[in-house]
Amino acid sequence: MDPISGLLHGLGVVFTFQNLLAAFFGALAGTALGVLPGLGPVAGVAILLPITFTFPPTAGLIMMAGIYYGAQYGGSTTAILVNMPGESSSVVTCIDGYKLTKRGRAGGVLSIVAIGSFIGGTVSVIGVMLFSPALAQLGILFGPAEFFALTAGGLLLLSRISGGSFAAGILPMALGMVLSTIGEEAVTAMNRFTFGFNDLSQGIDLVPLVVGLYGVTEIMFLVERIKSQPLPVPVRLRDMLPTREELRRSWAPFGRGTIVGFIFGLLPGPSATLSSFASYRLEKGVSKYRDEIGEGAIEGVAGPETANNAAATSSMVPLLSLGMPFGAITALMMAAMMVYGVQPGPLLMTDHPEIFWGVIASMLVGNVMLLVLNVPMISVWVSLLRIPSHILLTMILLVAVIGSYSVRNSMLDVYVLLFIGVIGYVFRKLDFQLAPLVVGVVLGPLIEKHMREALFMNRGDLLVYISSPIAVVIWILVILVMVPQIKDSLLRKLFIGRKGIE
Amino acid sequence: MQSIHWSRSKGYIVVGAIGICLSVLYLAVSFQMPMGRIRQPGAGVFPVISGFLLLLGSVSALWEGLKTRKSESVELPAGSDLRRLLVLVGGILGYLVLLPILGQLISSTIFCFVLIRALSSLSIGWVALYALLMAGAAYLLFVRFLMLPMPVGIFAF
Repeated sequence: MDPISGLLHGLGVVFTFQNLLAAFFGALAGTALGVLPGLGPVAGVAILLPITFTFPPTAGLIMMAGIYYGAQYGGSTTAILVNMPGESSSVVTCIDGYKLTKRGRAGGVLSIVAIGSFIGGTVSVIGVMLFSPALAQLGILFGPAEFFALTAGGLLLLSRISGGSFAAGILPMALGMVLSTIGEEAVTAMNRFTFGFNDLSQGIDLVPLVVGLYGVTEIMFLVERIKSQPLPVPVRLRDMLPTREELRRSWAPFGRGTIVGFIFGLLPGPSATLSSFASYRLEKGVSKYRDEIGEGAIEGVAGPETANNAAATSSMVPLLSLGMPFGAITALMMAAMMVYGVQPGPLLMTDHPEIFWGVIASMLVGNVMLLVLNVPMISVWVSLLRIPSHILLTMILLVAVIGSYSVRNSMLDVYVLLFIGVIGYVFRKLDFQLAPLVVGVVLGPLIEKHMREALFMNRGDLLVYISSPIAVVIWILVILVMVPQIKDSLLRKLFIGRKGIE
Repeated sequence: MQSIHWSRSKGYIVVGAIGICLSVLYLAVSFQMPMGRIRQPGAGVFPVISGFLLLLGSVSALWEGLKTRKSESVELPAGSDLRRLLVLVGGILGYLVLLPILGQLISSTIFCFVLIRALSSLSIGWVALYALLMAGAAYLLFVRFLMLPMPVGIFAF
């Protein structure tokens, strides 16, 4: 199926009452959760994940995608109105966004963000449409050795790229892998690390783990500083129109942000966050109004906000085409697919075209829904910020506990929620990275499967892991990132060599 | 925010030391699992690799803790901020203990009461009303409407 036929097929899938409702509810709930201070897209998707299981696979995944980009947009509202980013990808939006709010331009800025998010998301969908099938075709050539390199190498890369020191990335990643070994092992059905508890034989479920790590941890941080939350300025519908000057100055940042965001979304790591920072730096470097950026310039909001939505969309490419989650949210989506009995990867496009193209088309429809929802309903979103925190936090915790229990009807999952929440709190206080832990739990079983398959199929030849050019290229990339000294000396040699020639 | 400062290096040392103990225990159990042969690896191979990675991460955390300057600190809550945090964790713990005994509705009402009381300055009457409304709404939505099976406890609802 070529991309155009695929998209038409996907639109046919999305334009059913149930799937449109799923996209609408996902975008609505995602925006609401994104607007709430502290609760970002990861916690949002995790908290609402059990509800998506009540839908059929396509509708459930469409809803999850809607929650993801809805939350991505919603996070910017708090950044602009109360100088409090809803999630890390909106941190740079605070700088210029809040200054513009103080000048009375909140409504116009929110509209620019909505337009930028729409453009970034929509153009990125076209990229996803073109890239995913091509990458899936390449993925069909992958055997166990290549998949082992991709999963193990990707996880190692993520642990280094996520930020912080060596230990801050590698320790959570290893902990995630260790947690993934609990339960019944896939090949021989042997129970590992269950210590006689039957509940543990199913392993650690991803929902309580992620809700605990992102949701409970975040609530613990919010409770610490509960008294210092500012109230938002009121925004009316008639204030929402951006000026002609604001629109004119935003087009170039929209374009640059889309390109930056799309590229970052294809790479391992917190792509939405990294892309917003990269876009901000880019605007500060190339914009005609670079001297104003940081003092309340629309370019400082338009570029990063476009970039993070474009990245949120393009991060679906590695997931849909290679079955590789490069971040916590895509890891959650992959886990959800597995619950539905769908294996993401190169064969997804041929085995489940309705899911592959349905999710892609739903992003297109979802972006239109977001634009329609966000501009007229801004006063509703702002009013969410006025809900007293004692009501909001209690309600979120209640939903988190119910959601965690309901996935497998197991009290163990609820205990995991609290235990992991406390670990997440300690980790965040010490600046350890949380995403490698989540991705480690998801990729752990896959890494083990590919590692064992490769050895089994090649009669124990250890050289199988570096027997193909694809695997070798991936491992070279991993080594260059993991050991920066090698990369630095290589660059130095190249640089000195070139200077010598010149 | 009321806070105290705790040395980051101490934090890394504590996390590293706990990690080393955990990884040693984990490896000890892993080595008792079947390793299989090189052409057909057993169930213990991957846990051993994961265990050594955890050991590496823990040792590097310990090392970074020893190398970090003593002046770098982590902000920890104190006073009323710490009290709120402890009530939150204790409240969730109590909720989890009561959930299978008293069932979703009653334990949720108690949990909401305790948490709203700790996080707000509302009178007991208002707190009780909010707690009843929130737990009731969650019960109606998730248990009755979405039919999610929750523990019913000794009172069977």
